[in-house]
Amino acid sequence: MHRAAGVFLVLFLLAGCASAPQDAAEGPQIYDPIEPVNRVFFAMNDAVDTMVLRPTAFVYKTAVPDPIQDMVRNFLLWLRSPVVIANSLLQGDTDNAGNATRQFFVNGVTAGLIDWGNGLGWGYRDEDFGQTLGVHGVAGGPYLVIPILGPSNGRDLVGRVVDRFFDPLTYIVSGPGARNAITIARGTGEAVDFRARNYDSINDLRASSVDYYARVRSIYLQRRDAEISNGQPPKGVQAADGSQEFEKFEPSDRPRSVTGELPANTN
Amino acid sequence: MTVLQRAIFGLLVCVSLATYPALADSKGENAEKFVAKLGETALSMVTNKDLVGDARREEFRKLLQANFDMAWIGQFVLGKHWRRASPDQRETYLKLFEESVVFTYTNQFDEYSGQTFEVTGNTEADRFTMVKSKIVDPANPESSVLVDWRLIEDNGNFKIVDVVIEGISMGITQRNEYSAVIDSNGGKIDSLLVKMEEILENLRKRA
Repeated sequence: MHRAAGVFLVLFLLAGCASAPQDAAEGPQIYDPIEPVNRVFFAMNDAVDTMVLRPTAFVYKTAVPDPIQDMVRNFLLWLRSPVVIANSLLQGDTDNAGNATRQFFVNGVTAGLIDWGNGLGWGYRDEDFGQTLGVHGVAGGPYLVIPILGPSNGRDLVGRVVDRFFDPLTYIVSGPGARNAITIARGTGEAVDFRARNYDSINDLRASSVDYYARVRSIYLQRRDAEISNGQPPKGVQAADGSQEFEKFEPSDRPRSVTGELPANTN
Repeated sequence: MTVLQRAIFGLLVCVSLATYPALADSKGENAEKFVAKLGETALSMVTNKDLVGDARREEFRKLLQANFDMAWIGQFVLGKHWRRASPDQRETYLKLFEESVVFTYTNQFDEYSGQTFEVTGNTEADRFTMVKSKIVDPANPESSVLVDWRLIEDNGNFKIVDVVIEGISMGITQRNEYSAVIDSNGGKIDSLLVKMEEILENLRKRA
């Protein structure tokens, strides 16, 4: 417990001192001070994906019957719901908390394996402590690639640690050995499930990329912003993705051009 | 004026006031129709099993050029580097850009598994119109994908300038990626062009 508190403190300081120098002109706020290190971890994770995760996900999605795959997914989602409920409440979103609670109790009858709301939808979004911090105005901090776990940032890494305290399993399971085993099993399950469901998309994403690292970084940061705002553009910003880049952009072959001369042979 | 006449007059005023914004909205409605039609055309193209290889890519390219402002998108994606690019570099870049879009998307046609497309609304954002839509997978209706289309109106014609999938802007993602390549190669635009050529070659092999 003391060690966990220590880790928490360090991470919190890390997120705190991460008032990123924000280059207003360029895109979502990309603050990547340890990019060389991140790129090394990213390459390692990519190798793990190619050698382990991708083949596993392929076998999983081809050999395991669909109803079993659904059960695995339902179970993983069910395990997550206490964290969703806690964070929804911390964000003041009682609707989301209520819907997640309903799902937790109804699906709990069959240990989370069968989704009784299928087709109707429980109508809740995934929430985590990284999002809760974001809702309360904490900036993302430095972009980080965590070995095995993948893309993150200062804020979301703190969120990951805190979310473990919201998870009943942390308290139910006794002994660090069993706890770690469960964390690893669950993490592996989530990774295989995610990779299997997005099998082709991720392969395409990688194959069509000129800089896979930069692409994933951009996607991660944009996606987290969208999750924090629950898909609603922040007040005062009309762009759906919350970015103002499009508002400012003027192509050079249009009036109000800021880029100067006409482009050659564009049409 | 009797009370009744006044009431009717008042009602008429209310009705006309209420319809006024509806008239102003017709731009948004037209934009919705534009996207819905594009969705239909694209879906019929994806489900046409006889359309393969080069023919499929040519059809898709036509659709792309008719509905998307590729020069606009290409310039946006190259961002601050566009200004420095020579006319030759710009021409090569725009060609490579269009080519990679064509190959990236047509390569994914075969992954289609019965999803449906539905336009759900629109909002005006400065000079842009955002059309909201969702892609629903009948096998898994709960996990529908939200897609926003950013449209610009040019002489009464709509053109798409960005696609935002679940909050992820394709234009911004590509812009971040391209600028990362250029920045990590000492600002050389040619480094990006070489890399794009290389990836395009891989995509051709996968086609």
